[in-house]
Amino acid sequence: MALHHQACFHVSFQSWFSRWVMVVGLILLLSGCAFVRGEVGEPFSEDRIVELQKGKSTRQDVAQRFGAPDDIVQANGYEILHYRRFDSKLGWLLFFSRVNVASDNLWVFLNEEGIVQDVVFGNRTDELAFQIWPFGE
Amino acid sequence: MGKIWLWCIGVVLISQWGNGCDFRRVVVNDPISPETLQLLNPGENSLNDIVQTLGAPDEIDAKNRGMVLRYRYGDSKTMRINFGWLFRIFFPVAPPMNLGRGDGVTQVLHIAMNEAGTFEHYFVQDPPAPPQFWFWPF
Repeated sequence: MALHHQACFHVSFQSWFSRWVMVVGLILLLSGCAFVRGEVGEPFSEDRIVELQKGKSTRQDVAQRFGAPDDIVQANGYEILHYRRFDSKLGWLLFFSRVNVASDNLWVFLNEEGIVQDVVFGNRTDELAFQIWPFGE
Repeated sequence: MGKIWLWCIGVVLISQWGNGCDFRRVVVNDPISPETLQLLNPGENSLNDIVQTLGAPDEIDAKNRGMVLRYRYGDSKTMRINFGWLFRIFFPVAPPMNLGRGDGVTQVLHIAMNEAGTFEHYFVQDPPAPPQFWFWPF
């Protein structure tokens, strides 16, 4: 009877202790874990981009929808308004971390009269992923 | 000792060891693929063709009779080891003694458009060797 009690106590203590070690291990693991996101600029609304009509929309129409541009470039007879947005995602676990950064760019080409001639938009941030593993691709 | 015990001890040791070193990587945009560039034909492709193939450029600059579209890619890796961490095993204090090194590569693609808005030529360096993790700074 005494031996049975001792065996039961041994088994329950071992079970309790292994659970305790697992919890501590998990806490230590989670204490070294982070997911952080940084965004600069507002996401571009595709509906607003579609509203810009080549040969019709004016500089004012562009400004009303997207505000002041981040940059203005004069090239090839065009005044080109540049709007940017940056997104970054950091995954960090213990001693491994990886930051992925991507940008969305909207370029609006205006002629000398300030009429939209072309609109170029590229969205890279929609495929931006949280990654932790810094090796490989 | 059961496997679960070894696993638990391993997790605790690894999580503690993590305070002594780190591997960090920063990737900006996607790599520029040479296969994609082979789809471009001088005198044929318009700005929209290029944007459909490569996406919107990161920069546009003026050039003599035309403009230049610029695409950028960057990859950097940093590694650090805190050798002072070893003092924890023997002493109550662990002064930080870090050795670390960073290695980064960039790739830039220039696409020249002529004054008619047609693709003229491109410049790009060969794909750079990927940066390596290494801690020795000397």
